[in-house]
Amino acid sequence: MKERGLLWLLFALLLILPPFLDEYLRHLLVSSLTLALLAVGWNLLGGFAGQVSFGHAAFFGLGAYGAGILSKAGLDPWLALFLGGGVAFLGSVVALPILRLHGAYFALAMLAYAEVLRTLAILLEGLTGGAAGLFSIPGLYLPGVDFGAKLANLYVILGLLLVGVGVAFRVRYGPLGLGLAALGEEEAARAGGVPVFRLKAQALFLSAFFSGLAGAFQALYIRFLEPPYAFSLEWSVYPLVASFLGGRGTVVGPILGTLGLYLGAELGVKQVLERGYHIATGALVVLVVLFLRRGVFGFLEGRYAVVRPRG
Amino acid sequence: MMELFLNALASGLAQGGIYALIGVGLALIFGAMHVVNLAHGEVLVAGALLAYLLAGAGLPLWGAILLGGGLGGLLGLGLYGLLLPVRREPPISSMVLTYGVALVILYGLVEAFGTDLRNLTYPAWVRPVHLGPIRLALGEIITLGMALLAVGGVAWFLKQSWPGLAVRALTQNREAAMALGISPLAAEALAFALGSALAGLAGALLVVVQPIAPMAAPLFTVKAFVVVVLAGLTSPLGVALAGLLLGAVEGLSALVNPAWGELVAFLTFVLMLLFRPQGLFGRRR
Repeated sequence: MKERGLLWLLFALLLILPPFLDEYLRHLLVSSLTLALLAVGWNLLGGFAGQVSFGHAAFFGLGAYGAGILSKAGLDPWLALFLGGGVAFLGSVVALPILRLHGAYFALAMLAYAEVLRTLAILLEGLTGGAAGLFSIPGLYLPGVDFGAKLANLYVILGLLLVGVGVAFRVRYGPLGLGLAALGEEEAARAGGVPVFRLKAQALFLSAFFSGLAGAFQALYIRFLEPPYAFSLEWSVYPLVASFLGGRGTVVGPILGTLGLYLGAELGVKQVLERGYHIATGALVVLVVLFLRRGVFGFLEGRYAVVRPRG
Repeated sequence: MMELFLNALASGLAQGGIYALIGVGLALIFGAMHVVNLAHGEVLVAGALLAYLLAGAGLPLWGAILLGGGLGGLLGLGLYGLLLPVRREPPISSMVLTYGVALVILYGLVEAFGTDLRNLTYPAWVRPVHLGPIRLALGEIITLGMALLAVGGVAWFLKQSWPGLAVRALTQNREAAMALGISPLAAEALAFALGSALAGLAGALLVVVQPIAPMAAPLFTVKAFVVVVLAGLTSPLGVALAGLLLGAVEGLSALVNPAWGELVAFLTFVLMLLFRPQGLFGRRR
């Protein structure tokens, strides 16, 4: 399994490099790793299970508000972090009926679900602070560690990402991944005795939990939330685009896609054109859909034996 | 109180005319090609900005509005060309592709025009007109009229003309239509161009009555989808009715808190997809 080697290399780099970077680069890494965790979560459903969602902002936002509200209510922030993922999981239980829909209908219904939650976050003022937002959320802490600096946050999100990747790896190469791979031909899978809905539901639960975890971390990191931010379309689209670029349905693809897209935009394109990176992203998406259907890493896997997954 | 209610309803209906236009356009595109076009709102904004520029440069208003629609049609044709290679792929591919195009158009417009709100203001158009207790700007009445006229025109075109019949035949039964010698490429291109032209026209009409900025584009895309899902794939008149309905709901909810209107719209959207995918006016096929 060549993907495992690549993953170890990537994590080793991310572990060793940060102390040598300046505060700005560390901040970029924290943001991109948060997005990477979101993408890993998205990919559990959109990649392995083939249910492309346009509404993962729903889970990201639920995780963010879950962690934010609980932490502000006096709960230990570390507990709030994981309960944030739990809130997103509950949100995915509510979203279960949407799994009945297929293809574009599923994608659109998820988009609308995220919008419903955004308006609810505005309307439920007593709980969420409404349109004004949720201020001064108590952030993560450890005795003797400065969480005002980026480095501590960076290692926390790296740890969370490692957990997410571990699960994604187990899914891809384990029995669940095998079952999910059969969903490409859903009717045939059902006829063959594959419990289609149960597998899809499992993928949705895991996906929602890790996307929510990303949101929860973000809430405790920036310590401020408002509905248009927490449920922004950006959180729905970024993991999708990154996964399509990197390789939907691989473990490392969404991470490489996110890092490439985010760091490429921040360090490269944005220096030239302030908003131009969106144009470049759009053009890249078009090119990938037209010419590189399986994404960069998916393409390499299909082409070169060195990185091929099985056998 | 009654007066307030009626006024909110009336301006909601005026906005609903715009929703009717983009809804009918989107339904044409989706019906003919089963493509979920996420660039629809961007086409609207492009039409709006072109009309704004041309009218500002001294072109008569009606010309500027028509050319805004024309630009929409051209963009639709370009989008159709891009989609041709992926037409046999799963629908999600074409959906993601149109999202890429939407990003390019949206931020291309932002680079060129900035994020400012644009509005054509004609003193004659903002003059209030009294219809009993209801007060509307003249421009709102004119745009609503033109929007309904355009929808009627499309309905007529689909029902009475040969190219229109070809588009409808393809929507209803693709294989049978092809067996009869209808070229799917030509009919699809026509549907795409016409549908996008309606979006461009909607934008050009909108810029006369209210300020519009490029960043509003995704919201219009979503609204168009709400309308189409609400109506189901029916006649343009059914879709137009759903557009007016959405406008009315939004207008009335603005009296309390606009977020309620959005909540109702999106919740309806999910519930319709789940429990009544044929829409309010459609029949199950």
